[in-house]
Amino acid sequence: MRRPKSSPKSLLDMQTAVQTLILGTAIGGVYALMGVGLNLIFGVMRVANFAHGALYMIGGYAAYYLTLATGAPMPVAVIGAMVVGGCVGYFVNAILLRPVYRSRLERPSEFTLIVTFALSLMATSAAAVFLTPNYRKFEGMWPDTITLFGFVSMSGDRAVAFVTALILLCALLWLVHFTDLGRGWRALTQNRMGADIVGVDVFRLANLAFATSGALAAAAGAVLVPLYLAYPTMGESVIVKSFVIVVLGGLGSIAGSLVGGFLLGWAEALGSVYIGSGYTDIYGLVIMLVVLLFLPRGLFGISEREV
Amino acid sequence: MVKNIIEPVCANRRKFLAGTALVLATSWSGLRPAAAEDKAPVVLGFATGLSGAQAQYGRDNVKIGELFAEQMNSQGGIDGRKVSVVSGDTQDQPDIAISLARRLIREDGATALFGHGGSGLTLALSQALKSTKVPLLLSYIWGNSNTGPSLPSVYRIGPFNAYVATLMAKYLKQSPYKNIVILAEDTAYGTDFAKDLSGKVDAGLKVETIPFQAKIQDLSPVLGKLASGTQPDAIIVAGNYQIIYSLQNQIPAAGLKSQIIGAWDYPTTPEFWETAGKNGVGVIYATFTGPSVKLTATGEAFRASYAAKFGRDPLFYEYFLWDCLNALRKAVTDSKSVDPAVLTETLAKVSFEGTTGSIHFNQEEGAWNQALSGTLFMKQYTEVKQTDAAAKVVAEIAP
Repeated sequence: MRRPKSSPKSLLDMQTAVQTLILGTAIGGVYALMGVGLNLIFGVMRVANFAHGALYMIGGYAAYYLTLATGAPMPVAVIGAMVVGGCVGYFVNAILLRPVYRSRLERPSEFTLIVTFALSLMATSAAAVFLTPNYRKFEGMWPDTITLFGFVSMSGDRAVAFVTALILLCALLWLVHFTDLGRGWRALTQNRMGADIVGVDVFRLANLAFATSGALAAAAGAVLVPLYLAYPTMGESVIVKSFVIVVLGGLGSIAGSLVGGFLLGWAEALGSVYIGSGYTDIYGLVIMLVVLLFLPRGLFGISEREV
Repeated sequence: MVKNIIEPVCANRRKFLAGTALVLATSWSGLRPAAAEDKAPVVLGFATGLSGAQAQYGRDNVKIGELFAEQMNSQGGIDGRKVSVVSGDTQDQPDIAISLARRLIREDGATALFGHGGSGLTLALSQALKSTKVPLLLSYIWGNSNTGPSLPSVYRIGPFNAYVATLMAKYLKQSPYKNIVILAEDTAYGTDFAKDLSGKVDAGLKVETIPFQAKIQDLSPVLGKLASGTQPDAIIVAGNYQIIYSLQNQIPAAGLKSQIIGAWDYPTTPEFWETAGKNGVGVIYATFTGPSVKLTATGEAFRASYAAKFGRDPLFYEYFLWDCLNALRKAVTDSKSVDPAVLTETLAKVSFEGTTGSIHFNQEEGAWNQALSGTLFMKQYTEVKQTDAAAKVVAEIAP
């Protein structure tokens, strides 16, 4: 039996589908990078960090000003942004949130939520006042258009962002699974009180979790400036996307965040091409609701172990 | 001892005489006819975005208001009334804009409201403030429904969607394009404009409208589909937020060779070249400034004072704001009142020299309380970091 020849239209349809999936994958990697930091903090400290978008914004601006002031190439700018984001994350926890956990408040997580939300608003307003609301951009590492398989066109900077995200995600996975710090974080994720009882230094690990999360968010902000620009409110959409990723993947699950990031990237890309371009932000929320309906803990949610 | 007693007495006497003189002076001034500073002031209210994505426009508007107040006060005020500016941040949220505008009117005594905001936000604001009758003067808000008989206190100087779409359709008719795509943000501005333009172009021209969420950052998947499908001759960008600055890079990166056309002159904003880089070369945009537009004496004076204060020439829509401020000045001078209802009525009849020509407000179907703008210029950048003044005029479309 002869196979029917594919028509030019079906070939085009196939090419569009492949192109959409590749673009979704490329942005999904960066989404995963955004979401994984938020999930790390939630896992370790049960804190919903609403300042996560602000850290993304700080990373974007740090990379921009580093490039502007020193002419540093993009990899140096990204590392600089990670240092800034990491330091901000560390001090946010050490100075502002630690007193909340140490106090005898009945529901500390609600206070941390308010503190991080206020921080987020303050950071956005401060950026608008001190850095001006103008859109900023620095030249990426690879601004040329690249073509994959002869039909998928994208900016080289998108590929750079994806590869950077993958490297950082791999580094995080190594940190979590093969170091004492990672073992400590996993212990805290499983049961904070239990970890505390067996001698884990909860506050030190929390500080480092915040620093790591801040560095990852800042890296995501930095690699996306050549594509999406830097501006004071750039973190607003990120915080929503990050929460979708965390809920999709499962609270406290690093692997879940990775999957959640790619799922969100694919949902947005495929939805905007095949359903409608006017609802891009909705597709992730719809998938999140469906997942919650059938898997209330998310795809890889971890239940806390009883002591 | 004597000396010690006399000195306090003398001091008290001096205080008494000084106090008496002060009381007399105060009483005398109270008996005078009302002096300039006693008249109710003219308060320019700016409820505008000062922190969101469009904060730059908002801040520039407030600065222009302050420049205007400074100039008026140096000339003795408007109708002898002191001019001041009050402003607040709408955060691009209609509910915040409404409560802010109410506060500016009730607590700060705003005589009229100015400022930049989205068409939808401004429409909500206009409807909420309708009962106050406080004039709302729009300078760069394009929604068709932002003015109309049902909103008698709202006046507009500057272009609006139906007007621009009519002129742009004429441009498209004379252009070589056969197949165009309108990227329209999902706001009153973007969808209105796309609908107007689609309805006005010739039947032979294929038009597809692709809506997108206003604050989205990435349209690459949709652009990729266009690249592997229709490959439009031109892509018209009708948006306001950050994506319009990224599209100069996202469109060619998706493999599209289409001509990029800005539905408004965002390529003249300060951040354009920083964000577009070399991909900004070749971009065509619609604007209302061109070689055949001559500034009046009022316009030249504004340009000079603006440049002296802010170090650059005003952008074209900033002339419209200056005209709006002068419209209020004329209404206050003509009516000798700052009563909102009186001003709303007077504005309908004012006529004065604006920055680019004579200004009066039409009360016509489709252009209610509207001072019509002039010729549409389609300009194209031919080299990196080119200025608006140096851009090539591709077409000049008269109304």
